[in-house]
Amino acid sequence: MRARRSAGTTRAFGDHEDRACRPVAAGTNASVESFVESLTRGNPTEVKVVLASVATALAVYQLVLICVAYAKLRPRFLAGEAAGRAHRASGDAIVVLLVVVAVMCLGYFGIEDDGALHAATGAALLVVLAVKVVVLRWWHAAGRMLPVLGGLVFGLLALTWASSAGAFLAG
Amino acid sequence: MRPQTVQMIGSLLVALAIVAAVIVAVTAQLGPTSAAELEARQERERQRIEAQEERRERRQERLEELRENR
Repeated sequence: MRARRSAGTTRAFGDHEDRACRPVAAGTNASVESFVESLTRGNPTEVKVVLASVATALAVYQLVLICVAYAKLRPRFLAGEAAGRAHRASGDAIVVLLVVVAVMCLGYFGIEDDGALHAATGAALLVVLAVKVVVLRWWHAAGRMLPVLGGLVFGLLALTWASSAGAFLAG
Repeated sequence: MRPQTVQMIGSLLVALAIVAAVIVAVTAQLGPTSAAELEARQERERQRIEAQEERRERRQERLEELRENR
């Protein structure tokens, strides 16, 4: 069981423990905390777990779509161009989800020593994601790097999810 | 509508289905840990304890009345 803080309310999360991201005791921006608290109706951890899990599941689907786009898979019902467009559209959704999760994580939960792996993989994920967006939108000469960057994004996302939301769901 | 557009819309619908399935699965795994659910449970527990105490007090009063009547 875990006690809630700041607003003076006591709140339990069952027996689960989000090991990587725990609420910070002091020094964080109270307005961000209360905003996240009210936006999630007092369930920031649960909302973060759901959003991160949705992003990870979509990332797996992204792998399938990009395999079709690069003609590594050739299903009859889906052309490469359509798969590529769908990959971009759901990729944009994933970026939004990840930014929201990152803001919640940093603004509400903060960083603790025992969440070092989660913090490192999360920070690396955002950096690699930013590089990928730059390559896609402006730095077309580096287009050859896209498969590597995509693989890195997926790997880092899977690690970040497993070190926080996955551990939380596993209890 | 072009076949490519139909395929893209189909792919996005699959993505939406994945989102819905993950939300349902993760929410089911999390269980009743929402703040509202916990507050409601605590409230029910408090009411149950209050009712128990009231019954005990009434029983005690009745016992005392019986003793006085004797």
